[in-house]
Amino acid sequence: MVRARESAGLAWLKTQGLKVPKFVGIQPDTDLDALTIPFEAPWIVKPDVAIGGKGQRGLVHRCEDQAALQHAASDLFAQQFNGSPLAAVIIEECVDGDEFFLAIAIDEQHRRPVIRCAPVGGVGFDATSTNVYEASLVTDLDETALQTTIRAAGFADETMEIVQRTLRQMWDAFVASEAVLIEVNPLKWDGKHGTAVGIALEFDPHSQTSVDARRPELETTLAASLGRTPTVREDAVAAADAREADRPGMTFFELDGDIAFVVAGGGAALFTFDFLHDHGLNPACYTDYSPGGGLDKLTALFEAALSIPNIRGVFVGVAVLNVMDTEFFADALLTALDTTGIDPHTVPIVARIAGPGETLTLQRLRAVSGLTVFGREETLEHAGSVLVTQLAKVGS
Amino acid sequence: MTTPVSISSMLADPGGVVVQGITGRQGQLETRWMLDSGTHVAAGVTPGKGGQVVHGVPVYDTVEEAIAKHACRASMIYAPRHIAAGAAIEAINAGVRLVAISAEDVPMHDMIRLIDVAKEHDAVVVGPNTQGLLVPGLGRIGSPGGTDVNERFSPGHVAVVSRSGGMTGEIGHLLHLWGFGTSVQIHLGGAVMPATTLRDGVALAERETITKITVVFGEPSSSQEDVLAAAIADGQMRCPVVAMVAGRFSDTFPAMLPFGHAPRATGDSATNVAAKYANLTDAGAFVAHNFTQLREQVERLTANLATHVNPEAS
Repeated sequence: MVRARESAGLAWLKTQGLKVPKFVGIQPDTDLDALTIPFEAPWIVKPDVAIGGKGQRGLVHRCEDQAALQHAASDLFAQQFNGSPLAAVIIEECVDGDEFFLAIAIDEQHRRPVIRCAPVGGVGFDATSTNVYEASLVTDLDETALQTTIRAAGFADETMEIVQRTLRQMWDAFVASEAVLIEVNPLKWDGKHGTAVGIALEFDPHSQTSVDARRPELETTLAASLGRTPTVREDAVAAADAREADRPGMTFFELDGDIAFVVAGGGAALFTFDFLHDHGLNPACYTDYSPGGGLDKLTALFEAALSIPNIRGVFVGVAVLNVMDTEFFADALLTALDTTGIDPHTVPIVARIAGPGETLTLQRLRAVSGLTVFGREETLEHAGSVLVTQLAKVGS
Repeated sequence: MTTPVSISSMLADPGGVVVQGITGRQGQLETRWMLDSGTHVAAGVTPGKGGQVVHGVPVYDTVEEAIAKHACRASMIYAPRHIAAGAAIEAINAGVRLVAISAEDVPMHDMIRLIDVAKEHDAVVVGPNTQGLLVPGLGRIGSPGGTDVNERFSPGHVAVVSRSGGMTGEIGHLLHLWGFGTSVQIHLGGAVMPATTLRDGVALAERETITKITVVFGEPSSSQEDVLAAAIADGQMRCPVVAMVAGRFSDTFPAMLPFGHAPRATGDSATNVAAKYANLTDAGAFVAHNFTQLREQVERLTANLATHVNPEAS
């Protein structure tokens, strides 16, 4: 799922009709001594990042004066998020009042969007304890049923109208933007207004493109999914993937191990990784290549995996393919061997490749000295066990 | 009350299968394969291409038109992801009872609408991102087995229900090599929100009367394995289930790392692979961590079939 940074999310919710706190953003080069906040203290200071649970992580600070604000901001800018320095801090007006929990999320169990609400909320609130209204994307929101849910949740009479109106606004935004999650926690109720103070937003990365204009600016960086700065090889694979965005995508990220790991298909990759892990091998990367991705993507994947520093073995695996010609794997592997200079006599390479064109592919790869290649006559597990044996010999 | 859909009944239905998106490259290729494996592909649909013929199959502009001529009960959809769910709804509204969707990355809101429509019409939708469905010796809907389906699979009493397309074929092939064969092979698709989940997929596989054992292949993401475990514990499954859940290693990595087809859950309610195995074991499933254990479990269950089949479950 893709998420929005706090500032982008607040600005977007405001356009959807929700009341949000006043806020300003500051950057690392902002002169904190000269900073003038256009609304009165106390202020809430927090990182402007696309992660939830900031309060639970101790990243949200209430500051009573300028000195406390400067201290909190400096402290946040000194921290790393997803492997990079923080790019912005958000300073909000402090809103006091009762705390409510309101959320709309696609729920796997219900297989529908569900609306949850509770007359309590805030940091650490357990959303699973709330009343649930099961909505439908086929029919419009049933206001009467929603009202019943709100009442059953225990909201006081004077808060019914604001809760129902806010949920209606959230629902309209949810449908229009094809959201996966819109959570307001807390909605602060001061007796007159409901203000969305804490928010979490998630969106389907594969939604209809027509909804893009109806969403906030989203964080889609590789670093956001990895939680650290990408390596040059990860960037190279991501770039190759983006060059042919109309073809099936691929996954590549590096780990702490020393076995280059290139497996096609999500299930086969998980299964084979388990096998190697069970036998004491630690892959240096995880890959998932969807057959149909094309030769350029596959070559980029092999080149990235085989160029990871200090690898001591290579595993190539394919569950029996239906459509894609196995010759692509021979082409990509041989190109990567050429460009990376990996010597199969010192770095064992074991492949199990099966599917269309298998006979020719196996002939080509078996002609390369040092490569150990299996077809459908052997399982992925057998190929893995051969790599284990070969590595033991190299190490002895 | 309509008769529950089974894959074999749909393949054997005289109305045959309609292929939506038949004139595209994938549609043409896999239609050829379906025909070669014995599937009666009665009609194709591509808007604006009505009147054409693909491998002898007449093409229509709409599903409604195709169904009016051929009474197809099943559909394989090769429409692009942005219109795939709409194509499925069109088919269900025209009377199709079983739909398989090939496209991956179908928008979640589209899928949720489709799931609602399918439920209302008592139709079965498999996918998105499914390679398809196979009953060895009878036919297939989609591409399982590629060009050599008869060499890779054979009829038998073990069903395969999997979230991974590659591993559906791999396990089906191994069961063939081990001498068991398969009653049906169902690739559910690796999407976050598949129309048919593992639990429903196992129930679908059990509608094949020759199914005596079901092998399931799960993954780290979602709670489908836990839901299946609860159904087994509740006595809802007719046959013993042998469960593999790949990705045990991922339990030791941060949840944000994208192992597998779909994002792993985070937060307090998140489950991991070890917990899925524990739930399945506690429920009475027979678990396997690798192919050796899988073979042992299937061999043992086959030898004791009369003991394990639950005649009370539907």
